[in-house]
Amino acid sequence: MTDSAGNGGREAVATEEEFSTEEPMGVDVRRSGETSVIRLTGEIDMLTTPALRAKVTEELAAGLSVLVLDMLAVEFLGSSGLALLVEALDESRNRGVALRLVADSRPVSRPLQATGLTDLFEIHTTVEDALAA
Amino acid sequence: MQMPDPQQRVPEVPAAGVATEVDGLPDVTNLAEVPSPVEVRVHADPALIPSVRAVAADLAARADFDLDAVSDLRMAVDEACSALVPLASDGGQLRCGFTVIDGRVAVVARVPVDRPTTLRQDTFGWRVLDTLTDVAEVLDGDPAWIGIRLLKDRTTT
Repeated sequence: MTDSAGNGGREAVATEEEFSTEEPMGVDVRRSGETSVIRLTGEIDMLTTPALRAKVTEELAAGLSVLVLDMLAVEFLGSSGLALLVEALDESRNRGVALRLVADSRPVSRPLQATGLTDLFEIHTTVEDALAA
Repeated sequence: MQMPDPQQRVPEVPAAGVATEVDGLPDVTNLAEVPSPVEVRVHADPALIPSVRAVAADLAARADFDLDAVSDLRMAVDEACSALVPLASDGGQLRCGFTVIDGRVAVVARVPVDRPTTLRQDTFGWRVLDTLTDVAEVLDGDPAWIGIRLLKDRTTT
């Protein structure tokens, strides 16, 4: 048995407490009556999905009739983000909330398309369209 | 009679999953050092995965991948790293080697582990990985490391 390979991963390297990622993602919630618009900005990945999940769960539990996820300013959507969208869709159906996505750029549309999820969602190209639907 | 020649040769493309020299299949029993023209080493910390996936996207863009294929590779590398980082031993490094040859990018991502480990392939994340790449396989032949090898051709989206 040799542990040299394992040690290879534990080289002493300078550590920074916060390697920093300034605000990798933003979540802005605007609720008005039974409609809520969550505007997402930045990157939705393993790191940022938990905060987003908390917001989406909170909004879905708020007795809404419409929840719009504005993803126009999303720059990256990873599989944890896709999984969250699918969970949100299930939960919205359970609660009778209409979930609408707003997306028209590659960082969001390509992952949805590549994974065959596009058709599951109601997708609009502008927030106005989503609200008027 | 003029007939198209049925024997007309098209360049042979190795079947998916078949190792070729070009693909630089690593020595799967020693994942600590995998010779690659480009290698990124970061702490196995989710906050550093964006940097690794950015390198993948940059290499793909320079290799003339179209924008969808660049996006697919970025996402695949993100997923591979996201699956590996939680398995890494304390203070371990995520090592991600990239080889670009003939319009394909080969990626070998791995982390050191405390005990022999493998990776579940029945998850949503793995399904995404498999969908986005031409080859996605777990490298679990080295008891001290766990890795994922990906191959992505610039023409497959």
